Amino acid sequence: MVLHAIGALKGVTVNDTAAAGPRIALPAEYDGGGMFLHADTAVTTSSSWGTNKLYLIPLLAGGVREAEMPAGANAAGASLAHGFQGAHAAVALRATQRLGLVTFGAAGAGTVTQLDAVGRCPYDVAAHAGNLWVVDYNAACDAGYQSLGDSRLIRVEPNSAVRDTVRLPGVKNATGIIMDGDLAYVSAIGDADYSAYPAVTFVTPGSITVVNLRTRQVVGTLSLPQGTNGATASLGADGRLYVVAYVNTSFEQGVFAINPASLSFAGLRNPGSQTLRLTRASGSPGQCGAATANALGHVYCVVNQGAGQSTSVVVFHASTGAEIRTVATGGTGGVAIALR
Amino acid sequence: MMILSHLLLAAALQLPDCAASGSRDGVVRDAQTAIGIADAVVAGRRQRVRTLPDGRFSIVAAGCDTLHVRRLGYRGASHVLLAEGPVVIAMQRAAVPLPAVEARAAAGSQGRTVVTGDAAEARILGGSSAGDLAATLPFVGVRMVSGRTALSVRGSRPEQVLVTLDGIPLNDPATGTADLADIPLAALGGVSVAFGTSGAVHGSGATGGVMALHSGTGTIVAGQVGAYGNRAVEGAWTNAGAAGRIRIGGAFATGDDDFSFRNVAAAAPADTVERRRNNDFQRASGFLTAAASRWQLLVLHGETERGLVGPMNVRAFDGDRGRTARSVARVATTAGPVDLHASARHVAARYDGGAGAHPAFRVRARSLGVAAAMPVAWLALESGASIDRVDGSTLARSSRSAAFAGAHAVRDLGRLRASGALRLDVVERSMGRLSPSLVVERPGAVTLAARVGQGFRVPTFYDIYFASPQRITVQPLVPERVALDAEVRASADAGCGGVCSVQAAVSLFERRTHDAIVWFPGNVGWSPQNVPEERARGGEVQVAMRRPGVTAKAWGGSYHTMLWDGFLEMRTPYVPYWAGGGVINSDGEHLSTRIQVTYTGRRPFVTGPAIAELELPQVTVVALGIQRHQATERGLLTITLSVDDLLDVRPEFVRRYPTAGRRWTAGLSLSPRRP
Repeated sequence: MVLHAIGALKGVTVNDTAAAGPRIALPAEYDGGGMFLHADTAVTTSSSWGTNKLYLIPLLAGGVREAEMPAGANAAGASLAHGFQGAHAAVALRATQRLGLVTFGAAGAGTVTQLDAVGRCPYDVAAHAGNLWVVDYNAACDAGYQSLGDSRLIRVEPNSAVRDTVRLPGVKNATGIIMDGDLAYVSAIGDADYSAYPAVTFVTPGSITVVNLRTRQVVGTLSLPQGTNGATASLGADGRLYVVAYVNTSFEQGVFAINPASLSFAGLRNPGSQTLRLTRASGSPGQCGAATANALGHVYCVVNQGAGQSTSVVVFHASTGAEIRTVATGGTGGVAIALR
Repeated sequence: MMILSHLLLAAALQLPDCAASGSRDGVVRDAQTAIGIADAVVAGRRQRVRTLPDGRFSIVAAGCDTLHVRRLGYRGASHVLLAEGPVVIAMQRAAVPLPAVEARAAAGSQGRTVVTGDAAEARILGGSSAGDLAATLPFVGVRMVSGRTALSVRGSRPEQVLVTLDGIPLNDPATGTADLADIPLAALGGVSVAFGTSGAVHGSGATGGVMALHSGTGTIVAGQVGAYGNRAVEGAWTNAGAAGRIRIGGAFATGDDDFSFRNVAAAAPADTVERRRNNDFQRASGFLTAAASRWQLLVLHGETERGLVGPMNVRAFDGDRGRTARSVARVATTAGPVDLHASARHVAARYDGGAGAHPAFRVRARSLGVAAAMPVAWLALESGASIDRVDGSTLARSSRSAAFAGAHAVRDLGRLRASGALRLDVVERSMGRLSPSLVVERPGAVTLAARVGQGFRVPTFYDIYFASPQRITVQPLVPERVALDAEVRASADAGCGGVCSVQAAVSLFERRTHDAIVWFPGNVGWSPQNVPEERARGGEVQVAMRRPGVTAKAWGGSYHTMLWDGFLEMRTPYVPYWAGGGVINSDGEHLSTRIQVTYTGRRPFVTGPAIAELELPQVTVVALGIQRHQATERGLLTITLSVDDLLDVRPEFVRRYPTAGRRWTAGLSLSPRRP
C-alpha cells in the first residue's frame, strides 16, 4: 500500500503485486508525510495547516475514521496504541509538547486525551511491551525549530507519571521510530541550513540509531554519508532498513539499505556511493520517494512523475537492481509505502 | 433658377446650409472598439469643447465647418459638418493603447470579445473597489478570498490576465497577479476586458486576456455602510476647463467580516456553526489624475491592512496579518507626432504570523517603464524599455530589464478589414520573443471575424525563486508560450421596431500553450513547473437588448481546459465547465435598479483529473441594487440599497473558504450629475 499526500489524488492505495487497487480517498487539504501500518489498519496524520486530524484507515472494512487534533498541536507521527489506557491510537503533538491518545466509539469522530512530559517536541510514537515510546526531536518546534540538545526516546507507562529517558548521543532531529521485537530503529533527518535559500547547505546527514528497549541502551548509530540529508525509513520484509534521503542539494533522492544487526550499508550499490543501484527499464536511475523490500530483498520503490506527480510502484531486482515491473497506483504524490 | 436647383440638389443630398450656425451634438469614438473617448478636444472655428466620459459633445458650429479632434493616444481626426444630424467621429489609435471610457457594452472589436463596465454599475450593487467592478462583467471569473482577487477569463489562470490602469501594468512582478481589491472605485471610470492573447500589443503576461481599468472623471462624495461592520467613504473632486482637467480623490473602507458560517470540515459528527475570525480589513487610498490636450498624469497610492484567516477548520492562521502598500504613477505627453509615456510602480507587502508562528516575511517590488509611439505612414510604431526589481526577507535582490519594439496596422481590403500587429520583446535572461497577431473582419449586418495570435509570459520572480531547489529534479523554468490563440466570432446588431436595439454575439476559441508555468505541491512545499501542454477551448454567447431606460443582457459560456504533464491529464482549477448570467438595468430619472444573476457551474478546486471528488458544486448567485435619485441645490443625491447573494447560497469560491451569504449595503452619494 502507498500513502499519497501530494497533488490531487490523495489517500491510500491498496495495490496488488501487478495491478493498482482502489484508492481510499483523503481530503485535498491532507498534508501528511508518513503512515503506520499494522495488519490491515493504517494510521496517518495531517498538520495544523492541513486538516489537523488523525485518520484511522481500516483497509479491508473500509470507512475512514477521523479525530480532530487540539488546536495548534501540529500532529506528527502516530501509531496504534494497542489499548494503552484504552486508546486505539497514539499521536505525537509537536507544537504543544504532548502525546495524544485517541479513542474511537462505534461511530463518529474520535476523542483525544493528552499526556504531558513527553519531550520538548514529540515527533513519533510506537508501542512496545505495554508502553509507548516517544521520539523527542528536542527542539523548539512551536517556534523556529532551534535545537535544544540531543534527541531522546521517552518511555511512557500506562496510568503512570513515570518517564524513562534514553538520550541518543550526537543525534539531532530524530523524527521516526520503527519497532522490531525489542529493538527500536530511530531515524534522524540531520541538519540543513536554509538561511541563504535558495542556496541550501546540508550540515549533518541523517542517521539510524538502534536502541535496545529492554536494556534501554543505545546499541549504535550509523550516519548516512556526508552531503546527504533526511532519512525516511522503512523496515523491509528481508530484515533490512530501507532509508530514503536527499543525496544532493538539488534534492535528488537515493535509497540506502542498512543491515541493522551490523549497522552497515548493504545491497547492490552504485559505484563510489552507498546508495542502491536501481535502474529503470529505460536505463535511467530510479528515483524513489519512499522504498521498502519484500522477503527476497526486491526493492519496492515509490516513483512520482510529472508535474502532477503520478505515482507508480517500481519493483527492482535485489541482485541486479534492474526494473522487474511497474504498477501505476492511480494516486499522486506517494510519500510512504508498506507491504502487507 | 440656378439657386433653386442648387437648393433642390442640397435638399436631395441633405447638405446643410453652410451659413447656418447652431449647436451640433456628436460623439467621438475609438475606431477599433467603438467605445466613446473621454477628454478629447473638439475644436471648431467658434468654440472648443471637451468630450464627456461617454465621448459625447455639443459644440456651436456652422454648417460646413471642419471640426478638429485631438486626444492623447490617438491620431488627430478632422470632420467636416456636411450632413445634418448627430456627428460621429472615429479616431484611430496611435500605438499606445490608451483605454477609453465606455458607458455601454461594445459587441466586439478586432475580432475579439470585449466586455465593458462602468463604476456606476458596480456602485449600484454596493461595490467599492475594482474587484467589485470586475465582478459585474460577463465571462469574467472573479474569486475573492481574504480580500485578494483572482481573475480568470476563458480558462486562464490569474497570472495570465494582464491588468492595466490607464495603460500601466498592475501585475506584481513578484507574483504575476494583480490585486484589484486595493483600487478604490472612486478612482475609476470603468473597465474594458479584451479576451484572448494580446502579446502583440502588450508583450509578456497578456496570454489569457487584458483587463484595462481607466481612471474616472467627475466629482462625487459617497458613504456606505453594510453588513458585518463594513463602512466606506470615498470622494473625488474634479476641476475641468478648456485647458484641462484635474481630479483629486481618496477613499477609506473598513470592515470586520465576522460572519457566521457552517464548518463542514471538522471531524465532529455534525457540522458546527462558527464565526469567522481575523477576517477584518482597513483600506485607505488617494489619487490624482490630470489631463490636457498634450499630457496626462496619474498618481495612485493605497494601503491595506487585513487579517489572513485561513480555510475553515484551520486555526493556524488566526493570528496572521498582512499589510500592503501600493503606489502607481504615470505621465504621458506628446511631442509632435510622438507620444511618450513613463510609469513607475511600487508594491510593498508584509506578512506577520501570530504568536509563536513563522517569522514575518516582507517583499518589495518596483518597476520603471518608458515607451514612445508614433505613426509612420499606415503603421503605428511603438518601442520601450522597463526594469523590475524585487527584494525581501530571505529573498536576494533580483532585477530584470526588458525592451520591446512593435508595429500595428489596420487596412481596409474591400469588404474586409484586416488588422495586424507584431511585437518583439527581449527580456533579460530569456531569449527574444516575437508575438504576432492577425485579425480579419467583415463588417455587415452580421459581422464576422477571425483572429489568430501568439504570446508569451516570462517566469515571475517567485517562479524563479521557488523553482529551485524544490523539485526532485531541478529544471530551470522557461517562459510559457502561447503557440496558438484563435477565435472566430459572429456578431449582429439590429433594431426592433425603432424602440429598442438588440445585439448578439457568439465566439468560439482555442488557446494552446507550451511550457505553461503552473504551481504544484511538491515534496518540499509548492513550486512552479513547466507543463508541456495546456489547452483551453470553448464558446461564448451573449445577447443584449437596449431600449431607453432599460438594458437586459444574458450570456453563457462553455469551457474545457486541459493540462498534460506527460503522465496525467488535469484541469485548471476554478475554471467552470459552464458559466453564465444575466443582468437587467433600469435607469429612470428618479429610480435605477439592477438585478444580476451569475451562474457558475461545477469546477475543479485543484489541479487534477476531472472527477467529482475534486469539484465544487454549481452555484447561482443573485445580486440586487436599487437607487433613488433626487435633484437638490447641491447636486444629485443618490440613495443606494443593495443585497448581494440574495438567495443566501453562500458559495465557496475557493475551496473551504466560506462566504458571508446574504449581505446588505446602504449608501449615500452626492454628485453634480448622475454618478
